[in-house]
Amino acid sequence: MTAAAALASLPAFRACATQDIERFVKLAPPVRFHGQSVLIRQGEPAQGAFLVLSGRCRAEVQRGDERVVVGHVQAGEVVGELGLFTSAARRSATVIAEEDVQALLLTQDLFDRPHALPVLSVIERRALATMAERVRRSSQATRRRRPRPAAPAAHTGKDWLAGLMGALQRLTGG
Amino acid sequence: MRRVAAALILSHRALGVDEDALVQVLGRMRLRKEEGGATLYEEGARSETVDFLLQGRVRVVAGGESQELTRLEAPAVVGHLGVLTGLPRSATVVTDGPAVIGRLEFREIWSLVGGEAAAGQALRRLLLASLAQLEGQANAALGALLPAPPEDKDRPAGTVAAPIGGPRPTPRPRDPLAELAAHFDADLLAQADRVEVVETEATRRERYRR
Repeated sequence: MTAAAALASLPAFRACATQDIERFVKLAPPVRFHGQSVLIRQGEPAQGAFLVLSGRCRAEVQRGDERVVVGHVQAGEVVGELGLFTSAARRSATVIAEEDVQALLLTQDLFDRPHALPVLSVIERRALATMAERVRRSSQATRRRRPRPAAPAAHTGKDWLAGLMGALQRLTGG
Repeated sequence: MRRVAAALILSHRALGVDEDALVQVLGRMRLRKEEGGATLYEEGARSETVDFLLQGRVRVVAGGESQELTRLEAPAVVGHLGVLTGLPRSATVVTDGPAVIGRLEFREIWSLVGGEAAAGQALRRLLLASLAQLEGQANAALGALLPAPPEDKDRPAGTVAAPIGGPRPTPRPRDPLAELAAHFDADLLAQADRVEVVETEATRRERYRR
């Protein structure tokens, strides 16, 4: 299946006109990955993203000498989108093809086109929802882990006595 | 408004936002002046508007002012997370001194963001850039709260861990939440729910083996 046909078959892009799909595929070059090859490597500079057309990938995070699978990416999903909307970011996970994967390479150059690209608009709308959800979850995880400010110490008899003694000393200049 | 649009694009490092189109978006806003201490959003309230902080500062607090999450200075976008996720406000936003706010209503935002017009594209990309910044900040804040990775005592000094694609270490059963904390990384925490599922399965398999 050609990249254009694969893109047109994805539910999110079915409303896009054929000429828009074909134009987009010329601007976002199709790439293929064999199973077990790496699409994105954790720690590398984030430049561009991939729109997966077919196949399945897994995202892993390496910490120390261990790896944890943090999710899977299916056809129709964008992977590495922070590298599309920001500059100077680094990849936070490694993404590996679990089987042969066909994808479109999305670069920041796509934003510099004088005319709107309907396919890019669909990608942007989907990214708005997924990124908002992710930010919200990250923020909530931060709040759950942030130490609560210490409650003011209860007023004890000793505090009261020390305060009174201090006030008396100030009054008497001692 | 042109100056504000340029400042918004610059401060968010937004890519591909047409300044004229963003001026059109800003022209649709309902402008208002607020004194210090005015509440723009209440935690738990319905998310119905997005505010553009055009002048001044705001404080973002949670848990009845007990936890200050952040302070934002103009130009900034506030309140878009709730509108984009369709969930209630996750924090309270209070002006920190006099401020000028431009407000867009829910329906207007969605008609702009959902459309193909240049104004919609400008708003979409500005919001995406803002979300990308927020995601970076949230991950950095979370990273600072989590413990450092465990020391690998067996690895000789100066060498690095086995790369992806190398031999997999034997999985050890452990508490999924502890795993989450030990293996923190930006996207990992963002997808915390999924991590728990993966680790629960691994733990279960280990238990079966025993």
